Amino acid sequence: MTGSQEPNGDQPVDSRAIQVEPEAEEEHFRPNGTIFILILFVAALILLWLSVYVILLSRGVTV
Amino acid sequence: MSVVDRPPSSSEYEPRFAGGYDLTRPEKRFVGQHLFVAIVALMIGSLMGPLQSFQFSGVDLYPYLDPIIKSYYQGLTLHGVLNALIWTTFFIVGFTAFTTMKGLGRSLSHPRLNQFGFWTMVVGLVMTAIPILTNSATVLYTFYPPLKASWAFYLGLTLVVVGSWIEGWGFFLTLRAWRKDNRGVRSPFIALGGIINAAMWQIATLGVAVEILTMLLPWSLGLIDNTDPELARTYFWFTGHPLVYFWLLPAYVSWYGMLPKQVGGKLFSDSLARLAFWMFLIVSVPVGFHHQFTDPGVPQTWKWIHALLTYSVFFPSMITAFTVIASLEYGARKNGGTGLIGWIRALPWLDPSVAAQLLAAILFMFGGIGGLTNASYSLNLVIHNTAWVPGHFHLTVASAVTLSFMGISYWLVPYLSGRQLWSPKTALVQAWTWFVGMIIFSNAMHVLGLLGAPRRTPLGDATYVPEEWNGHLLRVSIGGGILLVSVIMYGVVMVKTMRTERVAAELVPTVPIAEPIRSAQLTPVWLDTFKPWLIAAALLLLIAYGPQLVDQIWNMNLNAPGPDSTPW
Amino acid sequence: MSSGEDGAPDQLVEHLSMGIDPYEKNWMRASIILLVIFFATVTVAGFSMGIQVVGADAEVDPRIVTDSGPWAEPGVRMIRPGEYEAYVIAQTWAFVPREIVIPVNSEITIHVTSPDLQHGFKVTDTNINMMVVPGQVSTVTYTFDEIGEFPYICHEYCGRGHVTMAGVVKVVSSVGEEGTP
Ligand code: HEM
Ligand SMILES: [Cu+2]
Ligand SMILES: [Cu+2]
Repeated sequence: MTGSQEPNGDQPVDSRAIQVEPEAEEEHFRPNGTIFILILFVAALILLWLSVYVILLSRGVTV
Repeated sequence: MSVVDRPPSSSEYEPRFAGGYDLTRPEKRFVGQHLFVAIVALMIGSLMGPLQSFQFSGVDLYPYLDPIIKSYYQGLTLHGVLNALIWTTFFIVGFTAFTTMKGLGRSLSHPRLNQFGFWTMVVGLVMTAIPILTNSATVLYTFYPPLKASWAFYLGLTLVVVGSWIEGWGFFLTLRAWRKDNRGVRSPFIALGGIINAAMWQIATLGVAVEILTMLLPWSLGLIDNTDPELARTYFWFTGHPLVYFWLLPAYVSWYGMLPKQVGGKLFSDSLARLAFWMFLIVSVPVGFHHQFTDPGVPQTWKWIHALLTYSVFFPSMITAFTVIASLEYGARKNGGTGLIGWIRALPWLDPSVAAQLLAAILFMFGGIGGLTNASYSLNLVIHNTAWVPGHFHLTVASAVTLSFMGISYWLVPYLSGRQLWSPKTALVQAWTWFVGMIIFSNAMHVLGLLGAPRRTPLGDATYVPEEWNGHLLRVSIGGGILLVSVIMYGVVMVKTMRTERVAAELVPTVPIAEPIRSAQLTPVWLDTFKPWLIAAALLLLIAYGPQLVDQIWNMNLNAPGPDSTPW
Repeated sequence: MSSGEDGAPDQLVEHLSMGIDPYEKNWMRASIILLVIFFATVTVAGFSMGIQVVGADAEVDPRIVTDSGPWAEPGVRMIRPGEYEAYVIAQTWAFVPREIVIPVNSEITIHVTSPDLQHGFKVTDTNINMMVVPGQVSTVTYTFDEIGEFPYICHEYCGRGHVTMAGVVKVVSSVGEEGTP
């Protein structure tokens, strides 16, 4: 998963812009848990989707 | 009213959330009227569902309904129309009226127009309901010709749609008025999201409007003798697929724009929330042939192109998955949640409104997986018109959407009526029973579909059912039974809530409106402007639908009269 | 909408930037890659492995389709050994014929149409799955390489007898013992 890479200086340009409520934690919040859930989701997606694909392949050609 | 989150600021950059705007009594009543019709429709329509599921394992309760409901199919028509068309549309229009007023912090600019739209919808509903209940429109909610319903059925549905258009115009005019007064200010997300959905709906419903007005209505009135069923299918699915996004986007408005606040967080990305909505505006419509993969009369190339476009409409839902979950995580961590998944426990699971929407979103992940499968061109051969399909959309429209709307109603109905929710515990159990019942029901339906069980069929009476299906049919019935309990609980909570005493203003629930982490004012202007997106939508529609649609209309063959006698 | 505040260049940058979180950017990239791979896989199955959906084949007039031509005598015919064709009428509420008998490993092209309402034609355990629409002919070619019975079921609502509407493909070791219908 490319999603779990560390950001490499690719900070959003707005870091010095007008913040509604400038709170330090907001700038450093990194949604690691989100990435984790989404990895599980993608795994389920691939698995379930492939299982139907396999059924399709096993049921013969329909030209 | 204590709906003020923080005092409105005079700063030009300050997004005007207008958290302080409290709807007037008549405005609350107006929104409430929509919800009332919606919830009554849901209660009646949903009672049919468990009957269907019991039928699957041979428990036939239809004889008890005999004076009104004459057949499984009549019940199924009622189920599809009341749930998928009426409950959704009335709730959505009412909720959009609410988010427009609340989001923009002002009254509707043309309240009479909106009232006219609402009553048009109500008249349409009555006109649709009468033929269904008298068994003269047992054509299911897709009304494929040459199944011929009473003309009142078609006219009624048209009025429901036209009424929703009129209300939509009211929302646009209100947004326009707000923009005039707020130049340079980004429009508040919850208002914009609902109005983008209303715009998409206007484009999407052109298909079914043309189908009814040029073919079905004249035919049912005896002005023309025949129909072109394949053209009718193409018209229908022009509307039929975006219909599912029309259902879904209001739930997304809540997930992006309200739920984060309910869990103590903020919207993770205002820009991407808007981008997702604009993408839905342009790619929701030109994908309808993915419902016609197995249709004769549509060339494979067009089906393949629409499969590709359907894949592109999956992308904004992937964005949604990230943004919404990240918004929730942000809130949970602020509440002290820790760990890679441990933070999930820090979400306010005991709040029935939150729990319902979180559970809805979990079911939607599986709905999304099934949806991508359906859309995958020849993979559709495995599941088309099998029990898999109702298994799939009970995760989407009947869960992601319906359970979210239920969750919204757990704060919205108290807010509108100046009361408190009756027995939040019951509401919480309602959400969980829906979740559990739906997992059992929908899993069994998916499996039955893979084994080849057809949909729209009272399988309890079918002679071709192999031994192998029986266990799954039973699971459908069990899931349906649990869902029946859940539906009843929902009805009880709503009725009891309305029967409690009104409470002091500061005890009434406030409206949750999530602020974005990064000020909405920093969102680029192109994400807050209708014009380029409407042009893109029109162009894409022309390219992706134009040639095949023109071809089918040009070569229209009105030659299918249907059977001589009523087939149901 | 007017954007009067787009003055200084750094403010312009503000307005072009969407402030996307780097994790989310990567998620979006990953999503696109995933969708592209899936779509390529699907396209391969459809267009190079021959697991195709039905296309636009032939049109008929449903009012007279059963009066003459192949649809006047629906049934299975042998074109040459190992190659068959079947004309099937789907009507309220039965398939004609109700049985298609063919020897194993033979290729059969099935044409289905309806003189009345819309119906469905799905052969269990195979990839044959088509809508049957009045005015249109749904055509599929398939090779049955296993002996057995494969029910075909109407999967589109067509009125009160819909639940009874089914037939069966009987794949036998050689035609003759069961006889052609
Ligand atoms: C209360 C729980 C529910 C149960 C047990 C239930 C059960 C069922 C079953 C068994 C079917 C399949 C019938 C068939 O294909 O023969 C069905 C169809 C359907 N359901 Fe539900 N349902 C429920 C709630 C809902 C809700 C809330 C919605 C929408 C908001 C909904 C929308 C539909 C639609 C659109 C169909 C397809 C109708 C058709 O094929 O014409 N259902 N339901
Ligand atoms: Cu669709
Ligand atoms: Cu049928």
